[in-house]
Amino acid sequence: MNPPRPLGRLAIITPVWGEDESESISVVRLVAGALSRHFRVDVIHLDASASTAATVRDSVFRVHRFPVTLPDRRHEVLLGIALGLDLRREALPDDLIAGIDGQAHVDGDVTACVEDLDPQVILLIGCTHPYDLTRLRVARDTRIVFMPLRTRAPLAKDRHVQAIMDVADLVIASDPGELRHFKESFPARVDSIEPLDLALSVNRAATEDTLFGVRFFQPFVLVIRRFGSEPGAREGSVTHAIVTSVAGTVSRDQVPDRHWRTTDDVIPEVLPVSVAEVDADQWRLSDNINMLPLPVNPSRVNLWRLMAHALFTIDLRPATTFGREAIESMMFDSPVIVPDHSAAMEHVRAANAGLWYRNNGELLDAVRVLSDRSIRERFAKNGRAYVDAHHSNLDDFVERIGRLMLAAPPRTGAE
Amino acid sequence: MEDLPGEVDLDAALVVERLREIVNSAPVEYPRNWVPQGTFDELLVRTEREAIHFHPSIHHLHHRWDMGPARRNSGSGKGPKALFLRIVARLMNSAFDRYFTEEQEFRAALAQSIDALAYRIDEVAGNDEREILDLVRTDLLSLSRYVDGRIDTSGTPSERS
Repeated sequence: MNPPRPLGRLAIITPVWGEDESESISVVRLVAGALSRHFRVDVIHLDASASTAATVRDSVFRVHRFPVTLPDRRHEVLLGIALGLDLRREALPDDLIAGIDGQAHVDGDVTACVEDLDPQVILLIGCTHPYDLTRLRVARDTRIVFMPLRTRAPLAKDRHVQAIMDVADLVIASDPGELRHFKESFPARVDSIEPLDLALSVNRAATEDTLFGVRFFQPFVLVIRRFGSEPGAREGSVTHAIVTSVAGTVSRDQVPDRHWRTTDDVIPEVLPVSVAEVDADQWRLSDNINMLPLPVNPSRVNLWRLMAHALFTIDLRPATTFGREAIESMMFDSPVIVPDHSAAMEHVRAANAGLWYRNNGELLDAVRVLSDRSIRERFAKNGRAYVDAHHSNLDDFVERIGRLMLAAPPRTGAE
Repeated sequence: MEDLPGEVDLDAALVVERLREIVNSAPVEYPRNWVPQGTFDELLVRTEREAIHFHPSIHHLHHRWDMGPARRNSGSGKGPKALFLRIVARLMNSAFDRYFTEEQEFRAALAQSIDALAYRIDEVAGNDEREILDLVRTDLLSLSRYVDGRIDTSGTPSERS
């Protein structure tokens, strides 16, 4: 029997780390976990909330924490407003951005830390500022991989991104929109831009169980306002009464057979559509008359149970980093309505498995469209095919991301 | 749904674009938000009693409860006064965001409650009208029966004589 192959070392430099359940952090931890099968993983955490530098153990990772002072975003916002510009950072003149960026700095010598680690691969996740790789004196054969993990801003104009692109061997895009944007913005680098295709593990068997009689509810639409302890504004103006009034009623033949229990109950020909709301730890089921609190644990498994039996899912949250719930909803054959200009929207668009909205009016239009069973079923079929192809197989993902790191061609002329 | 490309392979992007086109090309204001329930009780329309749903103040409420457009529209002027007002509006919006969100929810709930009450009032009024009509009809039938009975019992003038 051959002795185990010694693992190489990989350093992740990122401002996104911690214990919260936020989507960005869970995505980074999933990636780090997959990479720990191939490398000894050190995390260099550029932590805006830390006051002192420290090195700690976190699960299988060693985390080197460096306090970081970020530029004051309020300056950008005030300048943008005063100049009557769009509030996107890219709308501001370059010299003003450079002045604001000059406020940022890291307390501690990240360069020395990287030199000590001497990693085989440096993975830069969601990190374009204030620390960029051009300032790292890394060995010539160290591979540099860049995972932007952001979806909304056009990246090509960002000078930090351009600086990183000059030295990165590989770019990993976390959603199809980001992949398309990078390929269009850096046509000379098309061969070194790859999709992440993060695999998510779901427990399909659990969804067969009843969730407080979830399978015995009236047909319902799942509305996600907030899930878990994730931060973000809560969208409250689209109430359950609005959704039920727009969704109206469905005839019995519009509801999938899997919804019904196998009893001899007489099912009415026409049924009102209810709304199941997930709002942090308050879950409710409402129709146009009653509102019933769901006394269940607000866990992800229970969310899957709701997804598996919903007519469709509406994601009312602000754009998230990866669109995990949209992908999971597609895994459970539930078409999904998501906000425009989000990672979730890019997945839904690529899958052709749902609709997206810019405002409440468009959201309600989308609800009306998905009231049609044939459309729902076609979207559900497309969504399932998409996630089966890209986001289902965890073992494949672990192998693939390891291969990507090791196969990234070494830089040329970056020194 | 008849406006949507449905027979060919369904394309979500086309559906979204088509919906946006329909909205943009609508000759009248499209119902962008929550739409009040309609009673459309023909009986009420034909009576002199005005349906509460047609009351101008309820009409005003349904068109003005949503603060979203007002909060998003910070003007398009380029002068110093416009710039100053835009900064103030942004600051106020961000500072009072939580309050405005709660206020929006409250206004939505209020509009829906008043709509439900109006619907119920119209329903009660409709039932009331029906009951009155039933009573009148019953009275008329009784009267006609009475008159008919009187005619039967008293006989024709030739018989009486």
